[in-house]
Amino acid sequence: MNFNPNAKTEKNNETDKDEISYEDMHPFLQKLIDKHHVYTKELNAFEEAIAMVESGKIDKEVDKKLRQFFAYFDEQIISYNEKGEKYLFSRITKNMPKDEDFSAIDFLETDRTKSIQMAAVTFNMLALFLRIPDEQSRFIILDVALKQAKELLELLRVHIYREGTMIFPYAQRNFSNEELNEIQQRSKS
Amino acid sequence: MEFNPNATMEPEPEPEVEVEIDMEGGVSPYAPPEAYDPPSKDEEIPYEDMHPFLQEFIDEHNAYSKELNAFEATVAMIEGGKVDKEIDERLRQFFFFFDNKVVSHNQEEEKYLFPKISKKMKADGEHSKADDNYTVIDVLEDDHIKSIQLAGVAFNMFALFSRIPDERSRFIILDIALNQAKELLELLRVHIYREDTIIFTYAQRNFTNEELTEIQEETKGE
Repeated sequence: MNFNPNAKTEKNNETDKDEISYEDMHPFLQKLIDKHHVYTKELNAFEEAIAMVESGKIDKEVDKKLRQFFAYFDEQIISYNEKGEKYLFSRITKNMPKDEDFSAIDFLETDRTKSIQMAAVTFNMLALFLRIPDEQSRFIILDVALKQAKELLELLRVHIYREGTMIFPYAQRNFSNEELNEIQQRSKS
Repeated sequence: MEFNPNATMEPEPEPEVEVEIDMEGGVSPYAPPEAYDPPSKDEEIPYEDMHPFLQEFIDEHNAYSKELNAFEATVAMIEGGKVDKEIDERLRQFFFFFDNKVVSHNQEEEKYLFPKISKKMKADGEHSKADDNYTVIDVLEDDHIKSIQLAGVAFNMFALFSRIPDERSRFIILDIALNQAKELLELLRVHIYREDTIIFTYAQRNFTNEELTEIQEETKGE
């Protein structure tokens, strides 16, 4: 197993219920899981690009990789998270018994705002870095950019993990197939 | 003259200006007049005739505008060369307010009010001519995202500025911070105006009192 420094190991302790296999999930939830796989590939490519920058490689190839990730983030991840909040999370919160504490939803909603901030700061710091004439100043900026990029990677990975192991199984267990069909229809409209 | 953090440092508006922008401090350069007179704007509904749920949102906007005016004054002070502890505290106050109040205000709108308005607009054919699924609500939701981005970048650039040893580099960073701050001011002001005069008015006209009360109950988790 590869060790990934941007994925916290303690996140694995958060799930206490048995996971539900992909085949047993509703097609709506399967689609969301499929999106997570694409999303993870983009995160891995971004992590590679960040490692290249850290090792001193700053050229057109790295620039292209970085742009690709930020375009993907703006066009896919933001709207994916927005849809999740609007259609699935709100429905889970509504259906939940009042005495049941499911704070994962609050965390996931906060993740959306944080990830938008971090991506914007990382993008702008990386863009600024090359415009700065003084070398010492440039390295301070690069340091900020890299820290933000790593935090963003960690946040998005934990976010995917929480959705995949807590939210989707919860939805599968607590909604009927008809209810999930209805949520799917609403998300399409 | 005493410094009033809620008053802008701009001169009074010229008498011939047709569009009045009421932001407690007169016309601001970050408030383009044409944005305040859209061609499709309906007649406004006075505050007293609004449902209490919508009045709550408008009240929050008023508090929100005061913070924007204070932030605008801070930006002007930085531009005038003042960078000290007072400025630092004022900047922190604004960004703290943004993180704690503005973001949650926006989330509440997105969760409870916007989906209902969007659904009604689409059903009534009040959408983009090019895309049946695109309404003014999409524009406002985009504003929410842009404001988070602009605030994040402005805050981090202001924070970075003081850490940079080289003067020329520092000024490049300050320039970016100020530009982002001004864009944020303009965006949030036009956004508030659009919500007050287009969205809340639309909700008041197109939903019954019972429907608005029901949405209000939802926001309280009842």
